[in-house]
Amino acid sequence: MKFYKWLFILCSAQILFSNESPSTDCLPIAKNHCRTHCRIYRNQPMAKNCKPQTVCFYPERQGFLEGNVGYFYPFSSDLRSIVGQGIDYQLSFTYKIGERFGLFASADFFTKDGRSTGDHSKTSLWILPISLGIKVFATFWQSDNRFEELDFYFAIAPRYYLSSATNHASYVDHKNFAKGIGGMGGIGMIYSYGHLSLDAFLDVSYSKIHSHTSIPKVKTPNVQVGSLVAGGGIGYNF
Amino acid sequence: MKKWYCIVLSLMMRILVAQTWITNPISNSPNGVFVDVSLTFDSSTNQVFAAWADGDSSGGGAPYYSIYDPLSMIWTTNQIPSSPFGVFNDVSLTFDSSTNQVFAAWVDSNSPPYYSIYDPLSMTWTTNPISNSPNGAFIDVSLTFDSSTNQVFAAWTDGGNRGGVPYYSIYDPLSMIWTTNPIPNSPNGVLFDVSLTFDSSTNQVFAAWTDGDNSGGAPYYSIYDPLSMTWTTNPISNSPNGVIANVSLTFDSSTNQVFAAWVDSNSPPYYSIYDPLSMTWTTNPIPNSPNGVLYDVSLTFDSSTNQVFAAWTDGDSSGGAPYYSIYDPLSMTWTTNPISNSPNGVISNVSLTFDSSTSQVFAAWGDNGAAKAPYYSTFSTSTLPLPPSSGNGKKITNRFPYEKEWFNSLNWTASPSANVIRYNVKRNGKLIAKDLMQLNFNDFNRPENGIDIYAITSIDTDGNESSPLIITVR
Repeated sequence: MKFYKWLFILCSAQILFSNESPSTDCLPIAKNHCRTHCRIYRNQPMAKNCKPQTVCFYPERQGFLEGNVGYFYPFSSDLRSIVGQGIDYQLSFTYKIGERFGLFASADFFTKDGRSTGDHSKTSLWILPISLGIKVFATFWQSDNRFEELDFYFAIAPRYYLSSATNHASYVDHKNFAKGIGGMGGIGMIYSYGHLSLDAFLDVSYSKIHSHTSIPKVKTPNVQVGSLVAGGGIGYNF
Repeated sequence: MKKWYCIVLSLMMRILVAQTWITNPISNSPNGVFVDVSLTFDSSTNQVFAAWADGDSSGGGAPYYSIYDPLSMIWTTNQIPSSPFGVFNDVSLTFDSSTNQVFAAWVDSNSPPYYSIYDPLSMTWTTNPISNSPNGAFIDVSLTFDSSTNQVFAAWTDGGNRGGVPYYSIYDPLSMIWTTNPIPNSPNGVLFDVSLTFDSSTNQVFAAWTDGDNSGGAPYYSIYDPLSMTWTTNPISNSPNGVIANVSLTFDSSTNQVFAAWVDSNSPPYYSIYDPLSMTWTTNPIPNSPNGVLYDVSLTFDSSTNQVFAAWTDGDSSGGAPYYSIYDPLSMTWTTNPISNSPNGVISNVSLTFDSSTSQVFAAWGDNGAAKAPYYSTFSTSTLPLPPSSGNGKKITNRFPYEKEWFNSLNWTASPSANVIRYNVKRNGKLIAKDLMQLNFNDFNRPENGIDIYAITSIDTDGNESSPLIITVR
């Protein structure tokens, strides 16, 4: 592992201390000692008047796996008055297709204890939204060797919700399960440093789901479980 | 046959239900030779007001008033502020239900009568002489509230040796001015006492007064017609002559009859019932009453049992407890007894009022023979505990994350009865909660729309259940 690291630094040093500025039009196929870790920027024939030059780039990232933590703000005022706002935990995997696009899958988890609005009985809620969608990336800044990079992205995905509430009151169901389909959209910013990435994001989601009951005079209305989640996380680029 | 059945049933109930007065001195009151006391019930705050005059010839003083808090059962006593000092002979109270103000009036032996209005918000009295009134040796004043015109009526008598006719005055709440005139067609006399009451069935004000000079005579009554604004004065028919020191009126709203009662100085008290159709009085002595040098009588109507209460005092020097008598409208009989638990005294005055919030009759009296605080006594017409005095309920949406239900939240104030320990709750006639210790109850799983009628009852230590307090939740 250390060996590869030193090879990469050596390649980078060649670029940094070279008197000639690299020309994107006349890069040769690199066949030097750091070839194994220096990628060719463009694989095109060398111009006749071009001086051969070796440029080393950080490997293009194929995707990343990240864990995020966000602040969960439910759009439903009822949910806000029952459980309030809280922390959302998210695990996300993104696989890049080309430089601008990526497929992603993510699972969020929100759980909170609360009180019913009328008699303040104890209740607890968890929501598990699962998303499978696409991300569109735009590079805002990158270092010359692409070791560091700052990208903006936009994400959109259908979302499947699983949720459960546990009510500590004798006159309603003890457990309510609810599920349903919705959607999400989000924007974010990823700073990559080698294999490390830091993500900041803002997600908006929408879905109305409902449960069922057999207790007379108890109603199970549609509940908006959509939310605004703002947060950040850390990831591993590969 | 039906009437006899009713009489027997009434007497059986009277035997079964032990009725007692609970007597105590009015708390926080200074001692004094108090010659007169008056009571009224403020139905806006459910408080009983008492006022009394200091008739001590050594210096007199401003009248006192006291307010009875039904929850703590404590009187708060103060002097009516801004009142001139005087040897006041009499004080009277009435409650103006249009403004929720208590009116007090009192008379001195050589000045116009004074009145004072108690504002429940600022809890202050505003005192002034009754405007347009002549000076006189007034010995008695009476107030009543005419709920048809929202006017307070005052009447007073001139007890000086030269005699005179009674005066009346009407307080206009808009201009806040009294209009004072003599009651017309009234014979002159050394008048000792006057009493007013309002007949809400005919919207007429009744006045009655007594001629206490040695020549004796029947009491007079006068009816004020609000349309013609004139009084029609006559002696109370079928009344024996006597040296009558005092008369009292009350209106029985269950039978729409005016009751009068008076005391002579050496006979049992008399009562008379005015029949509005024949416009005649039927007069009889209150039975089973001992003779005595009776000084004063008071009447009040108990609207919870539709009974008229009378109380009177024996003012001779040997002293004694006040007496009371209850008139049962079914059997048309009086049951007379001394007010229990009362200390003996040379009692010159007694006053009654009915507290409709707790269904209790209040009596109060002062002792003319010794410097003491006035006494009061409460009488509940039933041994059953009283229901909670007030309550409310509302429908509340109870939202859980994925469920929604509605419940009715009820709360009530504690029963004024001291021995109540639990409460039962019925919904639409069905018992849903029993032996509750707390003063609230949530009835869950109610329909979103619909009316529920709840009955809250008090249970005392003997297991007796009160009449219900009804709370409707929509």
